[in-house]
Order: sequence, then C-alpha cells, then structure tokens
Amino acid sequence: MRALHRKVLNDALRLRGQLVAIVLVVACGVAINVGMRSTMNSLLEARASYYAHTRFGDVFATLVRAPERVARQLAEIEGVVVVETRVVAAATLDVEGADEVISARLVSLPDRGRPAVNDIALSAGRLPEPESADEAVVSEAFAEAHGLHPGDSLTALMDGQLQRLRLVGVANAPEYTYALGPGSLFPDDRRFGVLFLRRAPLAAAFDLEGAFSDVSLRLAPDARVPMVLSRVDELLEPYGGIGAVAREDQVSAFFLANELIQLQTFSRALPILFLAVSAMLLNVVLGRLVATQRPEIAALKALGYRDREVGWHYAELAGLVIFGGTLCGVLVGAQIGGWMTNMYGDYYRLPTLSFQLGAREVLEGTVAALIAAGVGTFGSVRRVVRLPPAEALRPPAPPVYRATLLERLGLDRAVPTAARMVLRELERRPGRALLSAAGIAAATALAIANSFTLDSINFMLNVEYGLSKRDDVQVALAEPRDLGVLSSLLDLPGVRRAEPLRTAPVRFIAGTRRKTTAITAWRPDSELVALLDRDLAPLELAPGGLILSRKLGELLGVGAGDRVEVEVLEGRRRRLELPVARLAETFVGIGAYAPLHDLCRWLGETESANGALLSVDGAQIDALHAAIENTPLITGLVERDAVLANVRTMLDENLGTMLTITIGFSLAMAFGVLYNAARITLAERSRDLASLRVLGFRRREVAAILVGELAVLLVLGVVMGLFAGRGLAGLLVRTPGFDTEQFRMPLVIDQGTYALSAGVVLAAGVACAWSARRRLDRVDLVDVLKARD
Amino acid sequence: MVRLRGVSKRYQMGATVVHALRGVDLDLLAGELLVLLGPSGSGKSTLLNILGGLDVPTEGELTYGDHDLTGAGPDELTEYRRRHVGFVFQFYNLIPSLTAVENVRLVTDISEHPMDAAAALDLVGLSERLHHYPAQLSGGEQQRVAIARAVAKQPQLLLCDEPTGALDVKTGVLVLEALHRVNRELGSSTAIITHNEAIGSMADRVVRLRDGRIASVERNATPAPPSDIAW
Ligand SMILES: Nc1ncnc2c1ncn2[C@@H]1O[C@H](COP(=O)(O)OP(=O)(O)OP(=O)(O)O)[C@@H](O)[C@H]1O
Ligand SMILES: [Mg+2]
Repeated sequence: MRALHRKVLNDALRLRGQLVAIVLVVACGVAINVGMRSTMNSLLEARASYYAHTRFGDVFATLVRAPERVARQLAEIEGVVVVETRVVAAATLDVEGADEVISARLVSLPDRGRPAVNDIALSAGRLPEPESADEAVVSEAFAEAHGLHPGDSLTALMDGQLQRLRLVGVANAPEYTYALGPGSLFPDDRRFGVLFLRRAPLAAAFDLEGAFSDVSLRLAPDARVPMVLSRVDELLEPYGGIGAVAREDQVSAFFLANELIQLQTFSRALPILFLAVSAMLLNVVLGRLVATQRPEIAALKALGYRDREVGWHYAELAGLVIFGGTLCGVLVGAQIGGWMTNMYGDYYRLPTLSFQLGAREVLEGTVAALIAAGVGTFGSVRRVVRLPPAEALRPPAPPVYRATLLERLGLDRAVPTAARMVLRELERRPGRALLSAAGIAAATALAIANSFTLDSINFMLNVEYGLSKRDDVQVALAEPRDLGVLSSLLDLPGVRRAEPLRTAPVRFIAGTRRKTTAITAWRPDSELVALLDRDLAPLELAPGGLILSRKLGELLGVGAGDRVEVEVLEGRRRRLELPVARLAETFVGIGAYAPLHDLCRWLGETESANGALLSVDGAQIDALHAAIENTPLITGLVERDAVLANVRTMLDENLGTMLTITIGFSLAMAFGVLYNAARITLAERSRDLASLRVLGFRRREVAAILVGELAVLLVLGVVMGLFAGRGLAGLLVRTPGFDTEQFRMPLVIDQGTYALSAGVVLAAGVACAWSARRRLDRVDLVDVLKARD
Repeated sequence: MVRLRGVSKRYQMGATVVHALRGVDLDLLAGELLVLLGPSGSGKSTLLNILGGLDVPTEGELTYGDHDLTGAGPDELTEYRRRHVGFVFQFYNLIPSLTAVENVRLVTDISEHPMDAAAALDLVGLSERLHHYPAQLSGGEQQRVAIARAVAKQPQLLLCDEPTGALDVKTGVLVLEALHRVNRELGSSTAIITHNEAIGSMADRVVRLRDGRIASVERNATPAPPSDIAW
C-alpha cells in the first residue's frame, strides 16, 4: 500500500465516529431512494401486469337500464375495441357470525367463460358454473375479513328478495384493488364486499334481462378518450347514464395512481434532503481536516507530490464515506422497501405484488450519493490543490474576534465571561453554525413532514364525521321517496331522529370544462349535517343557489356569484342554469350543496329523499342492524363509529412501521449533524476548556460551556426546524398527491407531532452532548499545556 | 505550606517504564520564591504539576497546609486549584476569544476573594491593554496577562512553568518583575521553572533536579531584584 493511502486509512480511523455519522446520513438518503423507488416500481409493475392480465377497462359507465343492442352502438364508436356489458347492482349481505350490516356490490360474469374486460383473478376455487343461479365468487379482502372459503354460503338481499349464495371461489378484481364501499374514503373489508355471479340469475333478480346496467370498454391505443367519453354519454343518456369515466378516474385506479404520485413525491424529496445534509457534513468535516493538516499538506507538496495527488488524497476520504453509505443504504433500502411493499399490499390488492430491488434505483442512489460527495468535497479539495506549499508551512492567520452583537447592543451584563467564549466562537464562524443549525432543522422538519399526515387524516375525520356530519347512521334508499318515508325510518328500533337527504347525479358545465358529480341537499333546519366555513363554523345553505366545494369551483373555474350549467343525470334529465352562492372548504370529494326544496324544485319533483341521516340510540344498534338487513327500502348504510373505528385500526396497524421509519430517519440525520458538531466543537475548544480546568473550573462548569454551545445550535436548529417542518408540510399538501378530487389533505400539525419531532432531535442532541462531555472529562490537562496549539 | 514526601512518578511507555520523578521530598514555604532548575527531561514540569494538583504522583504524599491531598480525586484537586493555586505556562494558554480583562475575569468569576481584574492587569503593567484580544498582544504582554489571570484570585501558590521560555531578554525581565512584585505584594508562595541559571539569583531558594531527583538546594540570603538579571 502506498504511504499516502495508509494516511487516508489513518485519517479515516481517527475520524471514524464522525465519518460513521455521515455514512449514516448518506445511507438514509440512498436507502430512501432505493427502498421507496423500488417499492414504487414494484407497485407499477404489479399494476401493469395485473391490468394487462385482467384486461382492465379503459372506460367505465353506469346507467339505469339499457337494452343489449346499445352495446353494438357503443362498439361502433371510433377507438372502441371491446365492449363488455354487465349487470352491476347493490345488495346487503348477511354473513353468519357478523353483526354489521354489509354492503355488497354484485357484479355479473358472462353466462359462459370469462369477461372480455375486467376479468377477475381467482386465488382459490373456481368460477361459477355457466348459468348457475346460486354460485358466487367472493372478493378476497372481504373473504379474509370474514374467514370465508369456497364451500361457505351467505345470504344476499337482492332487490327485496333474499337469496342464498354458495361461494365457489375467491378472487381479486382490478376495479376493486382499492375496494371502497359507497360513500367511504377508506376500504372497510368487513362492511363492504364484492360478489361475482353469472349474469342470468343476476339479471333476473334485478329485472335486467336482455339489458345491462354497467358497461366497460377497452380502447385502441390511439383512441381519443375525451371523444369516446362524450359519445358514450350521448348514447347512454336515454338509459339513465350517469357519465362515463376514463380509467384514471375509476375510483380504485385513481387511488392507486394517487398513492404512486405521493410515493413519487416523497421518494424524490427525501433523498435530496438527506444528500444535501451529507454534502454539508462532508464539507464541514473535510474543511476542518484540511485546515488542521496545513503543515502536512505543505510537507507532501514539498516532498514533490503533485497538487492533484494531494487533493485526490482528501477526496478519497469522502469516497470511503460514500462507499460505506451506499452499501448500507442499499441493504437498509431493500429492507425498508420490503416493509413498505407489504404495507401497500394491505391497502391495495395486487395479486402479483412483490418487492423487487431495482438495479436502476441502486445505480441512481449511488450516483446521487457521489454527486453529494462531489458538492461536499469540492471546496476543501480545491483549497488543498491551491494551497502554495510555503504558505501552508506558516500557521494560519490568527482568528479575529469581536464583541458579539449582544454586547455591542449593551446587553452583556447578564452574559457571564465563559458564555462570551461560546457566543464569540459562534459569531466568528456564523456560516458553520448556521449550517449545523440548518442540518438540525432539516432533521426536525423531516420528522414533521413524515408524520403530520396522521394528524391531517385525524382532523379530516373529526371534521367530516364530527362537525360536518353529526348523524350516527346514514342510510341510502333504493329509490327516491316522498318525505313520508321518514316516519317508517323513525319506526326502526333505536332511531331518535331522521332527516331527509337527497342526492342527484349531475354534470356541471362551465364553458369547455365539465365535471360529473352530485348535488346533495338537505333541509335548511337540519341538525345532523352542516357545511363548514374556513373557521369550521357552520355555514347556512344558500336558498335558491348552490354552494360548491372549493375544489369543484377551481376545477370549473367558477366562484361565488357565477352561474353554472347543470345537467341532471337522472329522471327527466333537466338542464338548468344555477347561481353559485359561494364556495365551501370540504376535504372529501367534489360536491355541490343546496336546500332540499330547491333541489327537488330543480328536479321537477315534490320534496323527496333518497337517503337519510339518523340519530340512533347506541344501545339498540344491533336491533337496528337486524331490522335494516330485512328492509328492502334501505340499500346502504354508513355507520359513523364503524367508519372511524375502521380507519383508526388501519392507521394503528401501520403506525408502528411509520413511526419507526420516521423516527429512524430523523434520528439518523440529527445524529449525523449533531455528532459532527459536537466532535468539532470539542476538538476546537478542548484546549481552551482544558485551560479553564487548569485555572480551577470544575468539570461540570467546563462541560456546561461545551454543552451550552451545542445547546445554542440545537435550540436554534429545532426552532428553525419547527417552522421549516410546517413549511414543508404546507408544500406537501399542495402537491398533486394530496390535493385531489377525492380528498384534500388539510395542513394540520398537532402539538404532539411538533413535540415528537423536536423530542427525537433533542434526544439525539443530548446523546451527542453527553458523549462529547465524557470525552472532555478524559482530556489530559497536562498534554494540552505542552502543545503549542 | 505545601509538602511533598517521597513523590515518584512513573510513566509506562509500552514495555519500558519512564521514571519522571524518583522519591522527591520538597516543602514550599509561605511567601517564598523558589526557582527550579534542571536539564530537559529532569522532571521539573512533572513536579510542578503535582504541586499544583494537575497531575497525581504514582507514589508519595502531597499535603497542603493540614489538608492531605494524597490520593485525592479529580474533583478534590479541582477545588484545590480553584481556591489556592495560580498557574503560568510557557505558552500562556490564554483564551483567544476573550479580551485581556475577560481572561482575567474568568478567574475572578469563580474565586472567593478575587482582586479586581483591572487591578490585576495594573499589577503587571497592562492597564492600557485591558480590551485587547490575545492576538493583538505581544508575547510578553500575553504572558503578563497570564500572570494577572493567575494572581487575580490572590492564590497562596503561584506556579510558573518556563514563563520566560518564549520571550526575549527585555520582555523576560518585565515578566519576572511582575512575578516578583506579586510574590512580594501578595505574599504568594511562588515556584518558577526555568532553564536559565541567571534567574536563580532572584530566588529565596534554588532547587536543582537531575533524573527525577533533587540534586541540590541552595539558599539565597540576598535575592537580587529581577531588573539586575541579564542573560
Ligand atoms: N505523558 C508522559 N508519558 C511518558 N513520559 C512522560 C510523560 N510526561 C513526561 N514524561 C517523561 O518524564 C520525564 C520528565 O518530564 P518533564 O516534562 O517533567 O521534564 P522537564 O524537566 O519539564 O523537561 P523540560 O525542561 O524539557 O520541560 C521525561 O523523560 C519525559 O519524557
Ligand atoms: Mg517542562
């Protein structure tokens, strides 16, 4: 080994603690890049092969009832390759041993063979026999939630008829990768399931023989989707079509795609943060090494080593760090990727999903780490290269100190002499102090950005299911009824109050922009539901006008005082022009809201309801369930407590993983920054501090000076970090993955999250200060006095 | 005032043992000015550091007044230094980020009966340099700040390890005058290490070390004032 390489190793050994701390930070950056991006690619690949295998549709449309011949017209649309008509209907299920009311979607399979579009992927059992009347395949998530297997049976209430069904298979379906029940935002596998039956019995049960209520299309690659959509809408309009959607807007596909967008955002932003901090640390550590090794650099150059060789020698040290960091990063990344992929697998049913470590991602991570090393090393290496040997032999010019700002302002009375040392040293190198503080801030901000989403979701739930909707149970009715229906609802066990709800599917048109959604209406005197303004105060409905959710307003480009064209997608399919009274902040969906009598007037009906909000005596909830299961009137039910419990369980299940990752990453970054800050401070102050010890300062007093300096950095950094974290979270909620038509993540950060984030970083700070203090205690006083500097 | 009895100091250097001190007995009397001479490596610094509680002997006893400091732990020695000892070193060991007067204040902040920091600097003839940083002072001035810092607590014991080692004759004399003045005016027992025989003439006693042992002790009935010293 050449002597110069020996020196690299010696330097590395001497600085091992600091270098390992940097390796940790580099490793996190690489691990996130490799882990998250490989997870993303694994998801993308699983999705692509799943969609291709099952011939997932490109266009989806639901309608009331169209004769089968319409399918031929649909097939003639330019760009349409395959048309698959189906019977899709809602039902409630009764599974033995389950108390809850279960909403189900019944989806028809062709009477023979497999569907040409939206095939299902069997994971157990078989398809129903051709034209079998009582055989069904059940969705896998639902089967698992209830412990159902082929051979079991259950009862479905189909259009008022009870039907016993035998399960012959378990399957996944691409439309239900993210299986959302009606009106929910999170999958609830106990309360929502999908059953696949042969078409004939389903058509018979729902009076749809020779007709269909749902159609999916596969398009040619060059098809013009918007054209197809409007043509489909035109054709289906007479048959109660409520607007065709492209695959990207199909609910399950949307959520999966959106998840990938979020993952993409995080997997791009986080590594940059880590690698920036790595570069900063390398810069500080190498910068100091070069400063203290001026005589050695001079000696090497005097011996005849070329500038380049001496410079490269220092770059090699950074190379070691990057090598170690990348290696650890890839290993940790593979582990984290595996966890994350499993976690996604819980939410998204992708049969072929498995984690694959991507070679490309590894390469990307390595290159990114090398770039960080280059940025972090450049300044120091250049200084080495440029240092003239004669100058290097002279000691550097003595530092210039000045009274600190505090003192110049005359506020120094309270500052003890020893504390002035700290302040002046910090002021002498404001750049380095700021860099350290920035690193600490980054670690704090990172913890906030990684964990605030839980607060946001909780807030969203509390607003949505506490302030905005105060009902215990929301029911959907099979069809609009006059308000007399309320008295039958009040007759159900435990129901104390019932308020009518009317939703109507509509298409909003504003210029060239159109959006299909629904108008929801209730009585102005409703107590169980209210819109909220920005301050979460209840907002009155606007008599004679619409209130739009802010997002819908944005999408249509309309605001308060504008008029908007409305195409009703049911009944007489009226076209209206309605005034927009104002926009309201909502977190879920893009809706429009109006007083009940106004909506019914616009629809040309007397006051009616197709849903209701109930206030229920909790003690009688089981009796209510039993009653609803046998009431053909009610086809769907959302129970607040169940929704909340389900979401909380889901979040809790992944809380451990999330917190581990959050705390682990922030801790690593904080540790990397603070350990280096502590060691450098210790190295630079140990002579002064030992001098103080000689003068009779106690160990505790000297340690207080050292810890004081670190504490200043730490407090400054954490405070900056709390603001930066809020800023970062604010940016995140505005990225496409968090500001969607389905939901908007509010920027909500609880004090607990701030406290946790600050706490993690402070803990790292305390650990580093403690280790520095122990080293300080071990400094040999006599040795320090011998050295000239 | 300070008694060393049978003090030895050994350093283990791998397989070999270095005997820095081999059984030294020494008393430093109240108010006396003692000069320690001896060749390089003879154990002068080791002896002074043990006297001042900076280092601990491998064997032997150390007592201060009626305090037995033999076997004292680091905290007890810190208290000893804090209350009773002032140090001056060859390389000054000033804190570069603090001005002259602040360097002195470091000590007055933690002492029980300190002098005024400015008065201490006045004692060493630096009343004009109070707010200079060490980098803005000459070597001799820095050393005098170090002396002011050492004496500001009015120590019973003033220990100086080659205080003139880095200085030329003229500034060296200024520093010695400052030490002499402190010794006479405050009555601090003073021990000065030097390589310079001539400095011995200002001492009450001259102790010579050789190979970790006391080679000779000379009493000086009529110490010369430092201004008469030349080398
Ligand atoms: N930490 C140490 N480890 C090993 N040996 C040491 C150590 N400190 C001092 N010594 C040895 O102890 C002996 C006495 O050292 P000391 O520093 O007391 O000498 P000195 O008389 O002050 O010399 P000088 O005049 O050069 O300052 C020397 O041989 C020295 O090498
Ligand atoms: Mg010595």
